[in-house]
Amino acid sequence: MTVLKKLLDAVEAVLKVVTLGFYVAVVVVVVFQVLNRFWLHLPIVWTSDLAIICFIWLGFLTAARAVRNHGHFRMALTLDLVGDGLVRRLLELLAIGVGLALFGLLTVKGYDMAVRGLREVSPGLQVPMIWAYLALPVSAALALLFYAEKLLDELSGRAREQRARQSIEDEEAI
Amino acid sequence: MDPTVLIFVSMAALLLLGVPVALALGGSALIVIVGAGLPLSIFVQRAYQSLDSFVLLAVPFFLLVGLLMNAAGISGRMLEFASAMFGKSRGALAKVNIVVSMLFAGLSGSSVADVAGMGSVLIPAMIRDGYPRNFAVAVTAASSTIGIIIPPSIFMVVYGAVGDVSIGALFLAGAVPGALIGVSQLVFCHYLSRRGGHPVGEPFKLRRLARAAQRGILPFGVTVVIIGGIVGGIFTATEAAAVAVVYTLLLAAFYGTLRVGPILAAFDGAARHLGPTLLCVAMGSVFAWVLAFLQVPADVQQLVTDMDPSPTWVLLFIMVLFVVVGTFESGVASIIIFLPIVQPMAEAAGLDQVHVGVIVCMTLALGLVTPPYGLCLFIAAKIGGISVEKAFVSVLPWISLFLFVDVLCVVFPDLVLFLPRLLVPQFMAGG
Repeated sequence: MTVLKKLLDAVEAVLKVVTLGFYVAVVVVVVFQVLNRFWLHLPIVWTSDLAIICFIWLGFLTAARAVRNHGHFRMALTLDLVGDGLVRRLLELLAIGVGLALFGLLTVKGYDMAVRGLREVSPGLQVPMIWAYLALPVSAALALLFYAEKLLDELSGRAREQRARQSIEDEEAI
Repeated sequence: MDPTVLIFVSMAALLLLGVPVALALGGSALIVIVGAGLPLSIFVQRAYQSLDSFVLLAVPFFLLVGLLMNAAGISGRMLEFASAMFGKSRGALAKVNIVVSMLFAGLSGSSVADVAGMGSVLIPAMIRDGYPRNFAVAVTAASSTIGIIIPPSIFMVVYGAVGDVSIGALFLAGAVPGALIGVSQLVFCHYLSRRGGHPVGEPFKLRRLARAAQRGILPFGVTVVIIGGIVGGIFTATEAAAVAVVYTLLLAAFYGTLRVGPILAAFDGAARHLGPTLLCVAMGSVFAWVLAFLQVPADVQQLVTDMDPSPTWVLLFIMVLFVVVGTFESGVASIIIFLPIVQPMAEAAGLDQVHVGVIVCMTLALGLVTPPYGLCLFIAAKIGGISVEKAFVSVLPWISLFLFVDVLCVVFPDLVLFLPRLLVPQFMAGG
């Protein structure tokens, strides 16, 4: 079990570095586009294409990361109301189930789309679109992995202990 | 069940059962796609295409600018500048809090960066000075709403990108309403401070103000870059936002506060916000596609056309809708869920889409301080060490004030549309 945790910690750490890289890349590429238009005048038409591809990777990868650190907005109303008994666990399982279903779909169908992208070429950059399309299935597969971890945590009761610890910490903070 | 009913009921049910907003949007859309026997590849295509947008690229940049300002200590200079303004007037520090939010709003696109950055300095300072905790929290939370109204604004970028409205026009249209909110809050704060006998500030010194202004002037280059660049047609909102990021970094280098650790932390903090926001956009885009497939926008437009109501009432209805929705949802999610319905309504009523966009974004800013989903109120309450319930009660009068200005902007469209019509007529419909 701890092996899996450590493995996922490592995946998350790599993800953090990679998203940071894409973040810096979008800034650099768009600023270069502005500089080029006003001062450099190089005959380059691919900057906005490249910026968008980096942005798509950045967007979907950060969305996957947010699964691990509970970043996705949810309405706490009902969750706060039901306490931490069986109902809460069922609600958590429902949320995890929807996550597994959607990211499963995005992984499988996203892969199909990416494979079709082998034959399409980006108009500005002149590279196969698979490099852009892959962002979706890769990120969705990572999200799927993080949801699988959540499922195991929920089933083993570890998630419940975590929630109890968290609520004590919250009270101490106030 | 009728698929139109099904999609709304399943979405509401999933939301209420605590499924994350983005997944509730995607899940309900998926149910209808499967039920109607549509190809599943539609789902993936829509999700992908929603981010395939140069306009939306402004979101990560504007998220970053606010956090970088905090990391580079530039926010502190804003604070010095605002602090030197009020002298010995009652409640000086509370007024500083409001003015600093207005100044920060002109640099940053998000309200959360404002509360987290300024609030963590100002709330403890106000409490030390002898202000009641409730008041300190309420002023901080209420004034943070300005961040999303005065341009730049992340809500407006999302609104413009998803609803195909000019972001430049939305930005300019937000300036006057944002300033109105700020000024009305200053007046209200003055009244409360005199009645409550709140502490006075240090004596006013012109030299101190001049020095602080000199130290604080350069960050406003960001405002000039963004607004000037868009109005002058020099670059797009996205390019302006990227240039603003670089400008902020250069400024930090110039001030000698460019440290790798905090800068990377700012990038990482922005990345944490970005994922959830963009997943909402992606799943919301699938949701909107299904609504369009079910002819919902067309039906709504027909319905409103048949009723032939006055435009003002339609906009007031939209405003009330977003007051309610904004209490439950994040602003971005609210925009994405309801835009496919609100835009045809506005179209049928003959409303200006820029006017509607600003009212929607303004009203959603209010949602930042109204529980159950009031992010800025939560953060401010936590910093001030009071319960969310207490904070909410204290912020109620400020909410009424906000609604009053909001209604003014609905009833008098010129308050909103004057500036964009004057400066960027090319971006306005029929202009």
